[in-house]
Amino acid sequence: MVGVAPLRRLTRLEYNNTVRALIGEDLRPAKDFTADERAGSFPANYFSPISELQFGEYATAAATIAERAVALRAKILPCDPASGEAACVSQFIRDFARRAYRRPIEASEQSQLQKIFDLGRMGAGFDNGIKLVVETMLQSPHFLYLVEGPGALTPHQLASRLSYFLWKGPPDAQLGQLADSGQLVPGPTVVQEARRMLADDRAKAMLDDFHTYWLLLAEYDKVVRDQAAYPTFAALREPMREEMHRFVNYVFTEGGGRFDTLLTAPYSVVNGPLAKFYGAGVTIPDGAWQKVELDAAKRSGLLTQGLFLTTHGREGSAAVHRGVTIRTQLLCLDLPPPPPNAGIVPPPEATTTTRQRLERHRANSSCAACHSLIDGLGLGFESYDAVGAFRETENGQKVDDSGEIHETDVDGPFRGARELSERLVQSKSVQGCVVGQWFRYALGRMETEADHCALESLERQFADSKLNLAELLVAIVQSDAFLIRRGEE
Amino acid sequence: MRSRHFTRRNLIQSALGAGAVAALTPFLPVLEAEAQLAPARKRLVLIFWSGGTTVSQAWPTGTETDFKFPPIMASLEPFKSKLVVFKNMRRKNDYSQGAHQAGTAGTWTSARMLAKEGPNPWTSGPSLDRLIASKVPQPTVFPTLDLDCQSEDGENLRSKTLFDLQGRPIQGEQDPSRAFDRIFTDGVVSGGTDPALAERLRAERRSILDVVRTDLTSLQSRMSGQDRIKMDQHLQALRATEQRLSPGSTSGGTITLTKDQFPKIDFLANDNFPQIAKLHMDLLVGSLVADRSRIISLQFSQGNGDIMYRWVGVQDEHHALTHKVADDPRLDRIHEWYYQQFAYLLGKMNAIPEGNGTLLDNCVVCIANEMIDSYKHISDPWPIIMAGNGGGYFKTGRFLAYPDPAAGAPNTSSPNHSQFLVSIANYMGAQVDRVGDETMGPSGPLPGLV
Repeated sequence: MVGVAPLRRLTRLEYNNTVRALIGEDLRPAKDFTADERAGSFPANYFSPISELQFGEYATAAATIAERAVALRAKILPCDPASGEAACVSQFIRDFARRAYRRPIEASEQSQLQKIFDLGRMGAGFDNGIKLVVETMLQSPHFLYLVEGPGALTPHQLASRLSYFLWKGPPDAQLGQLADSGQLVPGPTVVQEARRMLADDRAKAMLDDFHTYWLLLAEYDKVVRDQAAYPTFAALREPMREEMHRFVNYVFTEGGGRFDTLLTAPYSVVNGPLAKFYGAGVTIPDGAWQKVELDAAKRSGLLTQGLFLTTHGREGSAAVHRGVTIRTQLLCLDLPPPPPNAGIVPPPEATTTTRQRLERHRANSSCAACHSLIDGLGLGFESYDAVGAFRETENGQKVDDSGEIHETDVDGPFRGARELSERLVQSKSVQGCVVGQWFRYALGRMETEADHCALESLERQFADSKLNLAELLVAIVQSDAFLIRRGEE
Repeated sequence: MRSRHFTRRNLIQSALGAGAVAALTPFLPVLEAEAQLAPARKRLVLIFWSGGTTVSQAWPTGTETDFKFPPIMASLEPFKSKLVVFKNMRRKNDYSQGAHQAGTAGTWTSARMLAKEGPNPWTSGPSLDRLIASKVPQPTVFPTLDLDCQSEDGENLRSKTLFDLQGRPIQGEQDPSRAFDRIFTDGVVSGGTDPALAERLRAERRSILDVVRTDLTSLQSRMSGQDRIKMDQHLQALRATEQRLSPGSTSGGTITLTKDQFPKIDFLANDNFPQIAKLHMDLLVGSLVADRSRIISLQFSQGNGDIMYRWVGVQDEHHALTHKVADDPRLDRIHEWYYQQFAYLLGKMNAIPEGNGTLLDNCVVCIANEMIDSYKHISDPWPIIMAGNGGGYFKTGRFLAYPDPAAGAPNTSSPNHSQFLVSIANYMGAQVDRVGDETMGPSGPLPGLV
């Protein structure tokens, strides 16, 4: 039994990557599209029909991309029209549509597109014909949606499931050939392909994307810090983002690929300014990045890196933001919305610590109900300021980084982010949550009751693999939920 | 750079006068006919802003007919005779999905909140614009037009003010440049002024849509349940787009407008906010004049909005700032800026002669905030201003101070948000007794408004 798989429309990232694969240029036309829907915290367009506005967005983008495709004519045409235009156009339509629709096209589709070419050719010449053909394909539902069913997944549909999970983009030629020849069916080929794909650069971008949305790090773009209070931040902004990307990929490959390493590694991958920021005591040449050991008392994996700490590091109330993120994203525990009059946070003061300010949550019972679940997690990060710098004092007072975990299998008091991270990786709730997060990301939908068995099995496999993340991803593509398509009855 | 003086509004305006006869000859009859019909049209503009206002300056002081605006609202002074300013309009809110969700998504719906994210429906019913359009068929190419100035997290209820009949959120157009193409050039961007070229481009576009329709229809026949609905709606969007390409659709009046007034700029960049706001308002007025739509909404930012209003010297994120101190003077500067924007819009509309009055007189513009007091995150009472008399439908030049909730006036017996929405629906010709959910406030129109 698996959950119903709704028809998915490409996300903005998937659209951009698909266009890039088609015309060989990174135009990012989806930058201006209506926001993606979400499966949990991950972009996934799986529930709403499109609006007229979105129809227009697709039409405009298709026209723009088609113009660009014509400018790149020599690159996108598989043949020289001078030596037989009719044959060349026919071949172009077949090849391009195959890549745009991620499957071989049918004769009726070929003839429809041929007619469009003829119309454009007649109106304003060969290039116009090519332009219209491209414009048409990019507005077709076969391009915009990951079309599946009715019935079981075809090899081509399975190829798309794999590639839009592991690469956030279309299948490559090898996947296409395996699908064409009928070899891409559940079994060893799928595993082999998944491993090949995970070793590809496109999977690096996918890992970055997953962690960005899992830990709500897309918010980083909006972070503003007072230049006077945090003079070093401007120069660290981009490196901090890149550090996460490099660190996650290091852990997945050379680092052994274990989830616990992600949260407890006493090292990171940094450039010169970051090495200085973390007090690593090494000199790194300009422009270079390398793995360095960090002071294990101060840094311990992803949650103690600049990107996470800064994104969720509001001045004077970071503990709340960090705590909420840990609870919802690592523990998968909900929080009710704050009551309507809860907006009043005492302003930062020059003499009190964040902990002292948040004491008021405990004093008021209507606040305490939720904040006891949040603040206890977040206060463990008090040794880091709003841009993630280690601190021993706040407003002249010694920082207290003790916290407390509630509603999990690892409840109890702890000290500091390192101990929290160590506790979290041991938690079955956290491990289950991570499996669930990857499940949503892989399937582009929320899990349902019917996915219960698949998820339990994945959790077991994850534990058996000693929390190996690459193995988890391979296990996901072998699970029934991934391989079997269940439509709406 | 964009020309600041040669605006599209000027062009449309001059098109209505005698000055532009030469340039517009082929299209002038259409414009004149439209101008004469204008007073009979029922037109509605919904303006949404967020983050609350300054509680101590939320309303005028004085009597119904002799009143004075507080400093932040001073820019509305020239339009006093054309406004109805409400004080202590009560509003019931469903806070179950959060305060900003209630404030933002409740403003034009008076609906219950069903979900703040994920699968729809998100609200128990539609927004006022969709409700009216469903009851009163609109003759315009756009039954409704939705403009959006930098709402941010589109996946969350707190960023949404508009909902369809199924309670699904609707995203407004954020890019003025793209909106210009959609509204005024049928999406045929490069048609320019050459009618033969424009006709060829339209024909090509129709053929493309034919293929897309074939693909959608064939997929639709294979699908069931929600997937099938997705194909249905996709087809519906296609048909709406296609209708605007049909020969004889009244696009003639607008093609003298030039695209360079609506350049491609980063419409999501924080510091472009004022420029985007102005372009949206220009589009809005142009769309009314050219009768592209009679129900137009414009949303500024969103509940929990993070805009930094640097152009009025505020470096902080708006929402974070509202949490810091009640009545922070920096917030006053933001609120004052918004009232200046509303004055810009009303001034534009009031400068366009139409029938015996102005465009503003013949429309109704509703300007509402998600909440009154963002420090406390409370949306009751509701800050709402109405401008224009809808061609004589409403009595304007009034300051209506209802019973003060602080003095113990009960919510339900005082004039209420839900009734205001009914009054507007009735004005537009939708004979309804209730807008929104029955648990969300009293039914019937507001007394004493007409």
